[in-house]
Amino acid sequence: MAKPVNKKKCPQLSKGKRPLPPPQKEKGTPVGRWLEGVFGIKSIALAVVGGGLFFGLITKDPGYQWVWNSLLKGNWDFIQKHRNATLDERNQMKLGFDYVFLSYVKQNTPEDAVILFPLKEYNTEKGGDYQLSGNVNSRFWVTHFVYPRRVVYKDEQETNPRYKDVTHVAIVAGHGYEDLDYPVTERSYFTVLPKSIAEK
Amino acid sequence: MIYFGLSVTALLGLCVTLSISQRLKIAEVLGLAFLVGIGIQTFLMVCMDWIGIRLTATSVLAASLLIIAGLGVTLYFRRAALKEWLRYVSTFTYPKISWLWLLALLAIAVVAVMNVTKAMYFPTFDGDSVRCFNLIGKAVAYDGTIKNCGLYTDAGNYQDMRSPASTITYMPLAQLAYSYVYLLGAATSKIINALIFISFIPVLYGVMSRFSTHTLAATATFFTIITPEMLGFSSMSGVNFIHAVYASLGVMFFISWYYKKIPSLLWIAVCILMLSSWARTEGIAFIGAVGCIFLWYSIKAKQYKALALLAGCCLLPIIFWNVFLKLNDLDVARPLILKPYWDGEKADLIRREMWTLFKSRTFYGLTFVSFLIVLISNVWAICKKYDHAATLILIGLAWIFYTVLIYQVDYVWDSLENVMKYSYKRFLFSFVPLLWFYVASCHTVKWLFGKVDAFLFPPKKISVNL
Repeated sequence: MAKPVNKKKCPQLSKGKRPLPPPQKEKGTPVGRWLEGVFGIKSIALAVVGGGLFFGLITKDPGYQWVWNSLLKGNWDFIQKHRNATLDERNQMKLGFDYVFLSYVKQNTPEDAVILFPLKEYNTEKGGDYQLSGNVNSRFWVTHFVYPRRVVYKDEQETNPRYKDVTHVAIVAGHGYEDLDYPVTERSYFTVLPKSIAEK
Repeated sequence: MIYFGLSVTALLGLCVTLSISQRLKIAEVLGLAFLVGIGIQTFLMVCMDWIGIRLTATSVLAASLLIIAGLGVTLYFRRAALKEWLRYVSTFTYPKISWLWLLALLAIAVVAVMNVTKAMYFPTFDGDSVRCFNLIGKAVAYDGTIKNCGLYTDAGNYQDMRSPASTITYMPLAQLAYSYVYLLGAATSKIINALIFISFIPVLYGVMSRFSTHTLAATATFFTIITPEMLGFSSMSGVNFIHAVYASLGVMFFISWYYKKIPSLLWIAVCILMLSSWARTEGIAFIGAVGCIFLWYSIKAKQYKALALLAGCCLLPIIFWNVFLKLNDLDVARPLILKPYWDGEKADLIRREMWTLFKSRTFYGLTFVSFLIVLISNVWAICKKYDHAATLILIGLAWIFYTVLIYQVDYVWDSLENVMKYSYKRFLFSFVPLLWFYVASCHTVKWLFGKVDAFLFPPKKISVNL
């Protein structure tokens, strides 16, 4: 338990007009002695020993090894190698095809679009050489990349009041063409199309 | 525009910090400027939105500059206090330079530069941030409003947004900070994470050096920032590291007040603890722990006014945000069990997962091991001199309060096992700086480093010729 506090020795907590007690002068370092450690052989020897222990410990510990090799140096080397990458390219490095597809959806739909995505089980199917991750089944994850556009899934026909407002259909792994109001002859695995001719 | 906006934020924080306390070190003031500034600015954004002012770069900057002008005038009339601070910092003494201290500072600088570069280079990609914090930031910036943000009000999102543990329930500091930089025209919000990390370091070093030598403070700061899991999360857009920064610094300033009895440090602690609960509701665990110590102090010193003020201030952000949500039809039911109960299986699972985390050096490096060794070696000083007993009690209470909070939650959206593995793991970030603070300031380690200093800088013998 901490030492009991003697009220008489404690300064008041809040006294607006009371002048502050003068700051206590800390024990200073005479200017002449300030740099003595730099040239002192003891200081250098201690730094070598301390530094050796310091880094020896760090290189033996699996957590710190990960920090240095992967988190710091690994990322630093990667960044230096790709320092001219654009923001789009950096997004692709981390998010892969998900980012490419959702950026395409954003660029090819108006801001007030309501975009229909296929049944959640189809969203992670492979289409040609490409495949989306399971993240695409999260409405808010997709919304992050397409905001202010709204996202609905085919599974939500009965539950989502915005289902009837769908203006565009996201074609994922070839699924979604059946939701268009018009036939499409040239089909690709991943694209976004207006739901009806009128939207076109 | 971005740099101007962030400079305004730092200036706002500087004015608020200096208005509260004139007994802060330069390193502390430099770090707190942004940390306090961004907290106040997000609070301001909620107030503006509530009264119907559209959130734009111009409106937020104008409101901030207005507050800065107001505080500037106040500081002008309190010139004496400002002079007091200048007089205080002028008593700053350069530490005697030792190579070990320089080595630790260099190591801190290397880690800081590498981590900030990583934070700024990669855009937001982690799931929680994409789905929640960064998305809300983007949406609020686009719509210029919180209460009428399309993300919350759109019929298609309405049900999801009002489910238990929905993103609405999160306290708004991080989301609105991201929103602020998006309003300023930033392409990503990661500059906020970089600035919070870089601001944390000098404050941590400053507070630690209040209780220990500069070499020891630098070493402990270094070990704090390289804690593996915490460093990993510090460059992401998640809110856990941000909360850890505010909660740990708030507690450290409180401990500084407790032992140094400098009144203004208490109000700095209150301000930072307010921001910790503005960042995450779990900040209440630290507020509760601080409240217990302060209650004990108040009973001894018979100063109940300050106790009431402290409790009111610290809980204000949580009350304010919940009233805001309630009055704007954004409220959701919290999955919290309010009555006491006993579930042996649940308690056993929490205990097992907790020990797995404590033993993990992959996540927390040497933090828990060092703390345990130092605690054991310091038992004598604790028993005989009550050495940092309040610090230990505070850490223990905060940990108990949070664990009880975890136990009282009804997990309808996820399994308790996952919550322990991920959420609890990240919550422990708040304890990492506190445990290193204890290691650096306890009697045994200070005695050891004192010996090192005496070895390096032996007192000069003065010969007097009579």
